[in-house]
Parts: sequence; structure tokens; C-alpha cells
Amino acid sequence: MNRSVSRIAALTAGFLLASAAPVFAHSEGGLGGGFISGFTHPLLGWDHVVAMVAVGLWGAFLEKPAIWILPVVFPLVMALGGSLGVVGVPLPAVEAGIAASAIVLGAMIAFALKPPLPVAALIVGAFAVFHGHAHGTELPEAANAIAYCIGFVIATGLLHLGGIAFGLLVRWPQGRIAVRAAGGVIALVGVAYLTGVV
Amino acid sequence: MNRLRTSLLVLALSFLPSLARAHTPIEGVGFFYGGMLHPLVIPAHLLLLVGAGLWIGQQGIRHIEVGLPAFVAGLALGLPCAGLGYVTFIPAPFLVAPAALAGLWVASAWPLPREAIGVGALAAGLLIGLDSAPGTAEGRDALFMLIGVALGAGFLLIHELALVEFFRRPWQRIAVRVLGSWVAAIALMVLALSFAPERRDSEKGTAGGDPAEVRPDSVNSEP
Repeated sequence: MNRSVSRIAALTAGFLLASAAPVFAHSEGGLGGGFISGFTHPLLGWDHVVAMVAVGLWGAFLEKPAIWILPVVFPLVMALGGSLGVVGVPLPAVEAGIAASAIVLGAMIAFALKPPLPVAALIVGAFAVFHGHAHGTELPEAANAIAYCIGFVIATGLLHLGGIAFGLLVRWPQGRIAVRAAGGVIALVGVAYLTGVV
Repeated sequence: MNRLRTSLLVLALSFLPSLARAHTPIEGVGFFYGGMLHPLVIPAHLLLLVGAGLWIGQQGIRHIEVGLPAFVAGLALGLPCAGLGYVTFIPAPFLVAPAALAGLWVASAWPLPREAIGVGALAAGLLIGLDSAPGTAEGRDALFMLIGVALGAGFLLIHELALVEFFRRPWQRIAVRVLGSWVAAIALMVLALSFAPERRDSEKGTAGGDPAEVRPDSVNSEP
């Protein structure tokens, strides 16, 4: 079975490698530019980065099933927020909400708080709306919109995965300390953004 | 040793310059290759293909046995219609909405009867086929392009189905659900864009326009 999976993976990789990358670089600067623009959008704001990592960290901290429910639910709720931003529905205090997400999620991790799963999902979902709304309203007019959406959803998901990967350290006592310390740092970054220090 | 060789081969292949492939001087190959790339460079098609592949593959091998032929049948119906000019294009929301549904279903991991998979796969193939009009290509060039689209879409779907079906471990199954949520999230955003206030699309130079309807004409045209 493992050999079969390896073969299929190798064939798939071969097919993808044979695909001409220049299609993005030739006629459709918009496609490549839109994707890059969307992909880098969550990465260029530390408030986004720390909050997304915190979602993954907290999911790993809460263990099963939160470790996978949160990364599944978050993009969907974020897309809802993004849709609101795109169609022009205003959302008050978006930047404050994003900063607050870092503070709350970071504090949850730092203090090792483990609320029931529905409560955790509700907290994460509420903040996801703010993040999505920011991405939606900041969708640059020059970008290919669908490529932009693909970019920022993938970047967000990868940040979650990074948080989960780091969060798996909770299996060890020292790792647990490291994860909780990371939560503290995330919360402090959120405070810095909220107070305008950053 | 075999693994090392394979890894080195993959690494070497990743450095292959691919620029030349987009400029082949062989008559007809340009359109054929352009057709093969078509599902990859039209974001709405790629989204629908990925969503459909995850959706069919997640249900298991018995559903794949129905879904794959149904998808191919849909392509076989749609591509000739597009080639003969009966349909010139499908608005992006009609491509993206099924992708959103597929992504949501994958995220939920609910089971489905085989008949539903068959109908859904047929619809996906039909939509992609209908939305693959040859554009500037005519005659033999258009035929090569349509054949390329069929092979490219089919090839991509087969690989996707095989990978998803082989993902048996719990974390792999979860990864599939996460990918489904990504597909749904992207599709929902694009659908929202369809209802957004007019935005000036710099690629078209006009206000408004379908956010996903940017066609790389050079893919279909002669080099």
C-alpha cells in the first residue's frame, strides 16, 4: 500500500512538474500577481500571522477533535467574513477585533484554558469573521480575485498548520511550557497592536 | 538507495527549465498543450476539479467507479458543444457554486449514495467541458485543444482520486477535510464577489466583470 501511494505521489509530482509554470508569467500577470498578493496578505501583517498561528496552537493544545475541527471551520467562517467585506457590509472595529483575537487566543494558550469545544469553536469563529472581513475589504482592485482568494486561504491554512505543528510539542513537559510561552508572546503582540505600540 | 535515487531525481526534475514548453513551434501541439493546461490556468475550473476530486475520492473506491466515468461522460458531452459553438462560456458562479457545495460536503465528510456521486460528477465534467470553448482556434487546432482539455482534466482528476482514496490514515483523512474547507472558503468568496459593487478590473479596463473570467488567450493561440 505504501509503495502504491509513493508511486502515485511520484506520478502526480511528475505531472505537476511537467506543467509549464510560465503560463502565469506570460499572458496572465493577473493570475500570478493575484495569487501572490493574496498569499502574502496574511503574512505581511503580524496581527494576522500571530492570530492564525494561535488558532493552530490552541487546536493542538485542546487536542482531539479540536485540533482538526478548528482548521476546518476557521476558513469557512473567515470566508463568510470575507464575503461581507467584499459586498461592502461594514463591520465595526475590524483592526481592534484582529488584535483582540491575538490577545484572547494567546491568553487561552498561555493560561492553558480548555473550554468546551462548542465554546472554543464560537470564539475562533467570531474572530475569523474579523480576519476574513479585513482580507475581503483589502482585496486589491488590480488583482485577479479568485487567484487572490486562493492565495490568502492557502496562506491562512499554512499558518494554522504551522501552529498545529508547533502545538504538538505539548506532548512533552518542556514542550508544554514552550507552547504556553508562545501563547503569552502572541497575546503581547495583540496588546501591542491594540494599544498602537506597533 | 532507491528512495535516495528517487528523491534526487525529483529534485533534479524540479530544476528543469519549463519556459521552452510554452513556445513550441510544432503546429497544433501548441493548442493541444494549451488545452491540457486549460483546467490548471482557469481558476474556476481548477477549483471545481479539485472540489469534485476531493468529493468523489473521499467517498471511497465504489463511488469512484461511478464518479470517474460520469465525469468523463460529462466532458464528452460538454466539449463538443463548446467546440461547435453552442455554448461560448459558463458564468463563473455556475462553476464555483458546485465547487463550494463539494468543498462543504468534503469538510463535513458525510456519506453519499453512488447515484448522487454520479450525477454530481457528470455535472462537473459537463460544466468544465461547456466552459472550454476553443476561442481563437479553429478546425484541427480547436480539436487538438479540446482533446487536450479532456486529457488534462481527466489526468488531474484521476491522480486526485487515487491520492484521496489512498489516504487511509486518520490525519490524512483530516487533511482531505481541511482541503475541502479551503475549496469551499475560496468558492464562497468568489461567489460573494459576483454580488459585490462594481470594481474596476484592470485586466479588462472596464468596470465590473466576472472576477474569475480572465482567459489566458495566449494559452490557446499559436506561439
